[in-house]
Formats: sequence, C-alpha cells, structure tokens
Amino acid sequence: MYTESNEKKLDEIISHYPVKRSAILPALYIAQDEHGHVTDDDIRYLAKRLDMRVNEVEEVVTFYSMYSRKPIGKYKLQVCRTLSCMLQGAEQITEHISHKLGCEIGGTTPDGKFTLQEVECLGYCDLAPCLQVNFDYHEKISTESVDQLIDSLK
Amino acid sequence: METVKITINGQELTAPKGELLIEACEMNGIYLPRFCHFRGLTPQASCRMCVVRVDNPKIPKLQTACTMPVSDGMVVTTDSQEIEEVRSAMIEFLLSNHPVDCPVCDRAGECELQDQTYGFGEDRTRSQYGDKENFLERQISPFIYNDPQRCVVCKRCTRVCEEWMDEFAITTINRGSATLISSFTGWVECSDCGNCVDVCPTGTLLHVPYKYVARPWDLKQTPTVCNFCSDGCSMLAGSRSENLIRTVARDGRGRTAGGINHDFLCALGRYTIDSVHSKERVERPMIRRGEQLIPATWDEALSYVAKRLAEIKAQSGANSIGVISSGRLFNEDQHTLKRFAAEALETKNADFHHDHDEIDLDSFFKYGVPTIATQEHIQNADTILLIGSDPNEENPLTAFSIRWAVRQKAARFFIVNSMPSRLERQASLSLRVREGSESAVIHALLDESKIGDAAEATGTSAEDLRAIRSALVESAKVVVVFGDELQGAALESLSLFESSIATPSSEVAAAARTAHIDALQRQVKSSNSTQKPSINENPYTYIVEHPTLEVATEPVKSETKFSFVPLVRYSNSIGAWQMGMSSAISGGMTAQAMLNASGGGIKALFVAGEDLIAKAEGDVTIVKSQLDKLELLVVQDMFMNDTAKVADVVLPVTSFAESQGTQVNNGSQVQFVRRSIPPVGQARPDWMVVNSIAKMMGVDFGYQGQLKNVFKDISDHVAGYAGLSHNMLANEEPPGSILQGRRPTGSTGPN
Amino acid sequence: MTKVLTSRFDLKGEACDIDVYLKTGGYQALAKSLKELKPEQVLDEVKKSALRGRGGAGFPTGMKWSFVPKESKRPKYVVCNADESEPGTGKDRDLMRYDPHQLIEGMVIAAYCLNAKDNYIYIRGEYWYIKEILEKAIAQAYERGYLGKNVLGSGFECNLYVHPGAGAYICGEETALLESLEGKRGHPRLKPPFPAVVGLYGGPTVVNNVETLAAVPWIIINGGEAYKALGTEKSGGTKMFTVSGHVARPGNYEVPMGYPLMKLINEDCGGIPGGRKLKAVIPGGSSVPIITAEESEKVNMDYESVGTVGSMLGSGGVIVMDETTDIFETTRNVTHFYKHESCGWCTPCREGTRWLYKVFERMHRYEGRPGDVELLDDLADKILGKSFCPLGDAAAMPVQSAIKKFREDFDRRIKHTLVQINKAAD
Ligand SMILES: Cc1cc2nc3c(=O)[nH]c(=O)nc-3n(C[C@H](O)[C@H](O)[C@H](O)COP(=O)(O)O)c2cc1C
Ligand code: SF4
Ligand code: FES
Repeated sequence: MYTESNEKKLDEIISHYPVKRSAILPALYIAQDEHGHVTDDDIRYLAKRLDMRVNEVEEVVTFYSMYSRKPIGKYKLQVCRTLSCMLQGAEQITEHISHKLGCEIGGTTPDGKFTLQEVECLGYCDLAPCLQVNFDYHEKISTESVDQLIDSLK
Repeated sequence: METVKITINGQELTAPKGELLIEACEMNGIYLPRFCHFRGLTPQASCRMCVVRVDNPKIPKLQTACTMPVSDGMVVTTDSQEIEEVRSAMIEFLLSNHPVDCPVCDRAGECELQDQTYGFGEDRTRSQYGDKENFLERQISPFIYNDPQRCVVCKRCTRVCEEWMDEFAITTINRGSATLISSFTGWVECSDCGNCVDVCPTGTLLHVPYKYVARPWDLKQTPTVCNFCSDGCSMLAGSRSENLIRTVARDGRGRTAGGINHDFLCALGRYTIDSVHSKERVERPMIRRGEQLIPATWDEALSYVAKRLAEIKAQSGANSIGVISSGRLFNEDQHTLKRFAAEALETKNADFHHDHDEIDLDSFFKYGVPTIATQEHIQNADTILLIGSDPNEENPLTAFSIRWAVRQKAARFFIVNSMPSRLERQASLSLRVREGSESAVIHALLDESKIGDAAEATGTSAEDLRAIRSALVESAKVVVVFGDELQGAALESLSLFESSIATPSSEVAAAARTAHIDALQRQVKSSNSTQKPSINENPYTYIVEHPTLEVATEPVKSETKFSFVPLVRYSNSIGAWQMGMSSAISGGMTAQAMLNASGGGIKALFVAGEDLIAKAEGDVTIVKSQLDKLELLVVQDMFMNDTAKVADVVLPVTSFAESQGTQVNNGSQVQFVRRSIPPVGQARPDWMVVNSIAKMMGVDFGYQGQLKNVFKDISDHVAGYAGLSHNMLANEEPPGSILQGRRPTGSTGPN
Repeated sequence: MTKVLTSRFDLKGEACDIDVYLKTGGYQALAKSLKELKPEQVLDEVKKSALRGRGGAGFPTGMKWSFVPKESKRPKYVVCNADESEPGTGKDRDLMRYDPHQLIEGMVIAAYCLNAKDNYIYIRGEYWYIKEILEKAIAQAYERGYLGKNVLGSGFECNLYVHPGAGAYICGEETALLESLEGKRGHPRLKPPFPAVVGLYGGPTVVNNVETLAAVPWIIINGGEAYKALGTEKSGGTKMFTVSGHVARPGNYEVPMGYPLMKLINEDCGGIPGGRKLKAVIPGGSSVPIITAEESEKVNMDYESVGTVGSMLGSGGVIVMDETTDIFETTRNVTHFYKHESCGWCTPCREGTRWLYKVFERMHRYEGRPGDVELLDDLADKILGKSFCPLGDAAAMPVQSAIKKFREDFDRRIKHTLVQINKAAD
C-alpha cells in the first residue's frame, strides 16, 4: 500500500507537526488513494508509523465522512443534497443519475466503476447544484451535463 | 485539606478546595444525576444530566457540575423547575432510542438509567417504536457482550480502558447518532479486566459469564477481599444460595466494596472465581490405602494424622517433621500452623513456601522497617521508581495507581527492569537493564560513586542513572515499587534510602553508607552459602491502622520521604511472614531445604495450601521422588492437585469465599475477608483442621472453636496487631443506598 | 465601493502567482508591519478597525488576539479556519482560490503580532484543489522570503502548512478543529480554557476565519480607522456574502457592512427569476433563524440590524427562497444536515437531531401525527442551550424559527385524523 514515493510524502507531512499523529488525516488520504478505501492493513501500518494504537486510527477513520472502510467505485459521484443545491433541483439530478447508472443512492455499479452518493454541503452553494467526482468539482450541473460527464468517464 | 464555603440551595456548606461541584454536592448528601461523570475519569460533560445554576452574572447558561470546580463563596442551585426540565429532557432523549427491554436485561435492578429515569424522568415517552433505530447486539470479547442500542454514550468504558488500564481496547466509532462502542475489527483484544462492564451505567456492556445467570436483586452482595495477588482488592461477592455467582468492584449503582481499589478490579479478581466451584475441589477427607486415596470421615482422617505424626515424632524426633504453608492462607491459618509446629509437633521446621520469585522479606527488613507504601502513597507520590517487576502483569492495581499518579498528579515515573513492561508508556525514563542486574542500580542510587560500575553492569548510561538519582534526591515523596529481582545486599539496603538520601545529616548518611558497604561485602563472602541472614529483633512491619478507612484526597501522612511497595507474590505473603511462619524466625529449614532433606532429616511433611509439585523449579520428577521418600505426606488443600494425588492423607479446606479471616497486602494493610458462601462439600477452614489435630495430639490452643479467638491470640502476641479485632476490621460501613451517601464514609478516593 | 477583500477577483485567479500579487500591492502590508510596526502596534490597528470574526460568531478579532498571553512556555500558533462547511457559504473558497497570497500575508502578519512560528491553514478536505493552490502560493512565498527562517530579513521565523480536514462540519468549530488538527476525532473541547490560552498542542492559539485574516493586510496599509469607516458605527468594514438560492445571479459579493439586504438581492444579484415573489431568506448560513419577506425589507446586512429581526449574520451565507418554496421541506433538509453532522458527543444534539429527523421523515410522507409540530418545536427547545457546543443550537434555531414563521407549511403535513374531521364537521 505505502509505496516508496508515498513514504517520502508521508515523511514530509509528518515533519509539519510536533506530534506524529497529527499527520493521520493526510496520511489516510494517501492510503485511500491506493484502493479507494482504507483497509485493515492501512490502519495497522499507520498506527505503527504514527505512534498510535489501531483503535485510535479506527475511531478517526470512522468519524470523518470522506474516508470509506468499504470498497467503493472508481468514480465517486457525490451530489450535494443540502439546501442551496436542493433549491436548484439537486434531488432530481441525483435521481436522474441513479436511473442512468441503474444504481441506488449509496450503491456502486456492478462493474465497480461508479459509486453514487448524496453528500452534505460542498461549499458551492452559489454555484448550485454541484457535484464532486472524486476530488473534482462540477458546478451548475444539469441532467444534460451529468449525462455528458458520465459518458466521458465510461 | 483546604476547604471553601459554598451555598447550595440556600444552605451553607463546606467542600474541599478545587473539588468538582458534583462531588462536593455528593459529599454533602446532595446527589446530582449523571451518566458521563465518574470519579477520577477525565470530565467530559456530555450527558448534560448534572446541570445546575451558578449565581454569577457572567455565566448566564446552566452549567455542568461535573466540570465546575468549587470556589469560595459560590452560590449554586441544584433544584429548580428549569433544572428539572433539563434533566427529564435528557432522560427522554436517552430513552428515545433505547429499547426499554428491562425485563430481559441483565442490568435491570442495578441500572443507572433505570434509577435516574425513576428519580428524574417523566412517566411518559413521546418516542415510539417506529422512531427507533436498531443496532445488532453481539459478543465483542471472550468476556464482554455489547448491546449498542442500550448505550448512552457516556464513554465511561472507553475512558477506564484508556485511563485505568492504558489499553484503549475499546473506543467509539462513527459519529453522531451512529456512534457505537466498538473497536478495530470489532473484536476486543485486551487483558479482560472487565472494568468497562462494571462502570457501564446501563446494560450495554455485560459480563459474558454472568449473562442471563441471575437477577441482581436475587444476589446476596458480600464485601470481601480478593486473594489472588498481593494488592488485596476489595470486591462485592454476589452469591445465590450456595453459589458464588460473580465478583465485582462496584455494583451497577455505584456502590463499591469500599476498599483500597475503589471501583477497580482486574481479570483475576473478576473471572477466576470459577475455581471456587471447580470440579477439582476436594469435597471430603481421604486416606491412602495402597495405590488409592479412599474417602474417610473427618474423625478417621484427623485421628489418623495425629497418630502418625505422634509416631514419627517419637521415632525420629520432632525436627523430622516439616510444616509448609502457602502465602495465600489467612493470618489465622498461618498463626495456628505456626503454633501447631512449635507446640504440638515441637519442630523448628515451619515455613511458608517462597522460592526465587518471592521477595526475600527477611533481607528487606534486615536494617529495620521502612515505611510501606499503600496504594494511596503511590497515587500521591511525586516520584515513583519501579524496579525489578512488572505490576502490569502481576499486580494490576499497583499498575493502576502508578498510571493514576502520572496522569492526575504528574508524578515522575522511572522504570529499571530487565523485562519490557506496558508501563513504559507512562515512564519519564525507562531503563532496560541486563537480566539480574537490577540490584546494581540500588547500589548506585545509594552511593553516587557506584554509578559508573552500575552503568557497566546494567548496560545503561551513567547519565540516565544520575538522572534517576537526582530525581530521588529532589523529590519530596518517593515510592519505590520493587519485585523479586532485587536480592541480597540491594534488598537489605532499601531501608537505608531514608537515612542516606533523605536525611541531610551527614553522620546518619555516613552510617547508612557503611552499613550498605558492609552488606555488600558480606554478600560477596557468603555468596555461596544458602544460610539466611538472621533477622533483626523486631521483624514486625508498620501496620497501617484501619487501612481501608483512609481518606485519599488528603495527602498521605507519612513522615518519611521514601516508602516502599514490595510486590510479594501472594495475597498474604507479608501476613505469613508477620505471623512468623518463616524458617528465619523459627530458625529451622526453609520449605526448599525440607524437601531436599526428605527421606533424610525430614520424614514427614504437613503441607497446607501449596502444590509443591506444580511449584517445582526445574525438574518435577525430582520433587516427586523427594516426596516419595517421605514416611508421611499430609496435604490440606482445596484441590486434588498433583501433590495431593501423592499424599497419604488429603484434607479438604475452604476457599476464601467460604471462610473468614485476615490477610495483609503489599501495603501492609490488614484486611478482613468475609465469608460469602457456605463451605463446599465437607471442607473446613485450615486453622480449624490444624487446631483439631493439635487437640488430638494433646495440645489445646484455647480457641474454643472460634475464629475470633485466633485473632485475639494474634493481637495479643504479634507486635503491630495489638488492639486490632475482627469486629473493628469488619466495621467498615456497608455499601450505602444509591441516592445519598453512596460512598462508604471517608473513602472519597481518587476513583 | 471600496473592495477590501475582492480587489483581485477580476483577475480570475491570476493573482495566485506571486508576481501578479506583488504588482497589485501585495506583501506591502507585511513589509510595513515588520519594518515599521511593533507587534503591539499591529494589534492596535486591528483593534481600531473593529474587525469582527467572519467565521460566524462575530467575536472582535483584536480582543481575541489580546487574550493570548505574551509569555508562554509552549509555542503559540495561528490557525486559519478554512473549513467552510456552513450550508449556504462559499466565500472562503473564492478568497483562497482567487487570492491565496492575501490570506498568507494576513496570516504572517497575525503570526508576527502574536509571535507564532508554526502556523496552519485547516482546509476542508473537499477543497483539495484549493489546498494545492495554497501550497503553490506558500512555496512561492518561501522562495521570496515572505515565509521561512528569516522573513524579509527581520529575524522573524514563520512557517505555514496546509492541513486537510476530511468531511466533518463540526471541525469548523474552533476547538473541534484543533482536536482534528492534532489527529483526533473532531469533538469540541471543554471551554474554558479558551484556545487563546490553551489551544493547539496545549499552546496559546488564535483561530480565525479566512475572511477575517484576509482583511488584515488592507487594515495595516490603510489603518484601522479607515477600515472601520467603511461600515456602520458598530459593525466596521466590509463583508462578503454568498448569495444562493432563487436569485438571477448567485455569487459572492463584497459589500460594506450595513448594506440593505433587498438591495443585495435585487440589484447585485438581479432579483428573483421569473418575476416570482420572495418568501423567505436565511441571512447567515443554515444555522441562523429564517426571516420572512417582510422582515427582509427592513434588514441591513450588519450584526445589529439582522439581530433586530431575531436572526444573525452568521457566516454570511444568504439563502434566498421564492414563493414556490416549501419551508417544511427546506427545514427538513437542514435538519438532515445537522443529524448527519452532529459529532455525537452530547445527549441533546446526538439524540435530539436523530429524533427530530425521524419526525420530519414521517411528516414528509404526510403521515405526521397530531401534535407533531408541537413535538418538533419542543424537541428543538430541549436541544437549544443545553448542548455541549453551539452545533446543537444551530440545529434547533432553524426548526423553531421556521415553525414560528411558516407554520402552515408544517400543518399541511399532519395526517387528518378522525378527531380533526369530526371537529370540522361540528
Ligand atoms: C458548529 C460550528 C461550525 C463552525 N464552522 C465554521 C467554519 O466552517 N468556518 C469558520 O471560519 N468558523 C466556523 N465556526 C466558528 C468557529 O468556531 C470560530 O468561531 C471561528 O473560526 C473563529 O474565527 P473568527 O473569529 O475569525 O470568526 C463554527 C462554529 C460552530 C459552532
Ligand atoms: S452539540 Fe454536542 S453532539 Fe452536537 S456537535 Fe456539539 S458536542 Fe457534538
Ligand atoms: S455528569 Fe455532567 S454532563 Fe454528564
């Protein structure tokens, strides 16, 4: 999981803090990047690396919504569901994507390519409705624009 | 103790300065409801049950009493409509997702949620079945069962795991309303202390062995004392009819057994009680006929033993008989055994069994008796030195107290050990030394000029040793916790710490140093001899008066700077020694020497409570063949163990649960152990058995069959015990009722 | 209108490059601070500016800085709160992606004022690309000596790191943020002690919002008095508002404090599309009480004026709702948000938001029971003021204000029972 270049990155991150465990959130992103989710091995490894106990890592991982302990799709489609986006019709777009992919909200397509999620406010309220695909933002989306987007990812 | 004046509900009261308001109220008989607050755990103010109004224009909101230290002149209201409303609202919230399955819940009857709902809630709930979320219940460790839906997320369990045990084996995962008590992989790997279950205010965490076994109101709760390690924790033994069902440090309502351990108990105390009802228990006396041990009546067995002992005494002389006891037997048993040896058998050979992994108390007390530290000394120390032992494994309460001192009082903590210990996480400096070299460190601490040598012998740096030494010199209260790795001159010299390090007078220090050097030299000379050094005149240690009634929030009043915790092996090793059940005092052979002489100088052994074969160091067959050579082997024991199997006579005795008596812990505290169940089978207490045999041999100790007379005899004859009686020791207050004065008087201890 | 914060927004991100930033007056405030001003003088200017925290609570910034003890055994820290997760708010995003150096400059000045060597920007994990923009800008600042061992040859050492969050609204709360930065679960801490005294790693710590810190360079260059004069008597300076919802031109707008709300909506944002009428406005992010159309007419965007209609300026997230909006549904939506984001520490918030949402759910299906509206109101009341941190209040206030002002939208969700039908028949 932790390749050599990742190790270097991690060393650099650790050097930012007086306490090793402060690096846990950024370190988890690096781990999650490899498989799309945080594995048991990742947790054991990071616990050792950051002078934490496995339970201290586990409680952190499960607190934050951007980490997943279970496998998910290659593309995580996260539609904002909170007020400003809702006012601009986010719900309909989510439903549209769900139909298009044949996948429930929260589910993953059988080919393991897409996971569809509703998430809370993404900070793009003035650019609503919005969608995040992994780390990429898409603003002022419409049913047409998401169709295009998904087709380009397929 | 500095106190402040506070006004609560219009009444002027006093409280210790800096005490948390919730505790201060409780000391004054005002119980504030709470879930998350728990004596001595980091405050977290999350349940919001303990809210009060503090009269202060700067604080407009209700405050949590569990986080507010009292200050002089504080005016507080704990009871008003506004406060009642919050309390009942919090209860309603907690019940809004609670299954309310009390009829099938093991905790019902000692559930704090139940109690507080009755006390502070409303008799209605607006949350209906459909409003509730379900979580699956499951077993999460060999000893723990978890039903998350009953959880109030007070996190007492995770805090005891972290703060008491330093294990962090359970924690909370997820967030918000999905928060659960769980762990990495979901299975809890820990030392199974079970404290998390005891402190749980609801039926969320349950003891697996106790699941669906009994209802708490059916249990008789007897405060008693554990007899596994030498810490001597009090516990509540829950029994139903003739059976011991469970032991806990506290029942679900916050009542503790009122002992030195307050709410703490370890795995041994909690889960090894199975042995009381073990299949291996000997239920009736047995006499060997050829290959077989055949059941006999008590009369037959006792008179047979008396007759055979008298014969051997007549034939081979009194000193051909040896008496060996176990460090687990009560004082009354030891004392009677000692008198039995001296007066009935008239043998010098009486010793409690202690081998290399037992601290040599004779050496330790050679130059007089230093202050023996109790758990409270440890908890209040400013510097702790742990040397040659790992209490984390052997004496969990001591380990707890050390962690306590480090966490709560910022004590400095040093470890000098050849083995790794989990306590290293708490240590400010931890030296891993060569095996067997711990003693060298003691010499270096006593004598600065020896630091170089010690560094070499132990494989550590002189700098580190100097750091430890200067910490000891600077500190005001030092507790030295040590184990069996300290031997010989090092052990003898411990009591010189006070005079050579703490006393500024150069003369006294010089004298101490001379004594130390003398000890060292003697050790070099006699390193091959097995002879024990003779004991000083007054071997009896300082005995803490009414130990279990001490108040721990006040600094422990000991005059000396140094105090010591000898981590002896058994629950009553020190008591056995105090009772004189020691070869050094009788001037006879040690238990090991008796074994070595069997068939030669020793023809008969009377063994009480010790499995010599299991204890054999090295080759078992040697011990077996030694026992084989005896003309008579009498074993009185709870179990049909390996030694009993080869005995000529086996006499069944009671366990700690079935008998009463006193025992002395490693803090030299004399504690009274109560009987919680009737004897199993025909078992009798050790002292009673021995007393009967002596009588048959024509010696009457004058006990008239009464245990209290044995203790009377002890207090008359054993220094330090004068003035003590069973009555007095037993008269700690019984656990109180939940809503007021829940703590036994005075034990406002740290946890 | 004077632009304090958004003067480089027209460059559409070009100011991310340090040369562009320098050309447009960048880092002059830092140079001025280090060369001409003592730390106390910097503090003085900030105090004079009457700048108030833009993260939501509106605490006077100068006062917060002055709580930091001068002498401290432990290192001091300046932490920028860039967690921006309050629904309706996206201003810090643009401040960082269009003008990262402005924030960096503000932070270095703050660090100089408080003598903090290591400093952090805690940015929400979703803003990963902005984290990269910031990191690039920081690297440039190190290169040019605006950060590092010896800032501009003054001997002052200042380091700056960007730390990503990972999806937790509560980590915007300053003490939860510090916990998170220390590598723990984002549970708020007990106060007191306040972070200014015991904060990150136990050291005195100032936590400020992006917008707050970004205003500092302007204040140093132009003086505190000048900044204050931009706004009203009590609320100084300018403020950024993110306007979203039913307006023609949603976006971020910097206006002077005291700017009329309806002017913002109608003139700057082009009014409500389709000629529809205004129904309600949430003036400061989803946590603050909702106000009606009539109330909106009276309101100017400053702390005091918004207070007069029982709401708050909060984070400056203005959510506009037209007449087609069902306030029951919008309130259900934000309640879901708080249920999802409750950290789970304290009873009222953890259990209360769950229960609230359960009731909302059945009302959503038009299966509300008689008394459910009162139940919602009462549950909110039992959370309000009783929770460990203000998130509980934030969950309660929208519910209570919505019921109070838009009751009919809630009543419609109650299933008609026989009792009610009988009553109607009587
Ligand atoms: C639940 C909650 C969420 C918050 N979220 C944010 C946030 O996302 N960004 C922010 O700057 N402040 C947020 N705050 C306010 C911070 O606690 C803190 O007051 C602020 O960072 C201080 O900076 P300021 O004085 O510059 O406003 C939040 C507060 C609470 C109670
Ligand atoms: S109010 Fe309580 S549960 Fe909610 S976020 Fe704050 S501390 Fe956590
Ligand atoms: S006991 Fe004070 S909040 Fe729980």
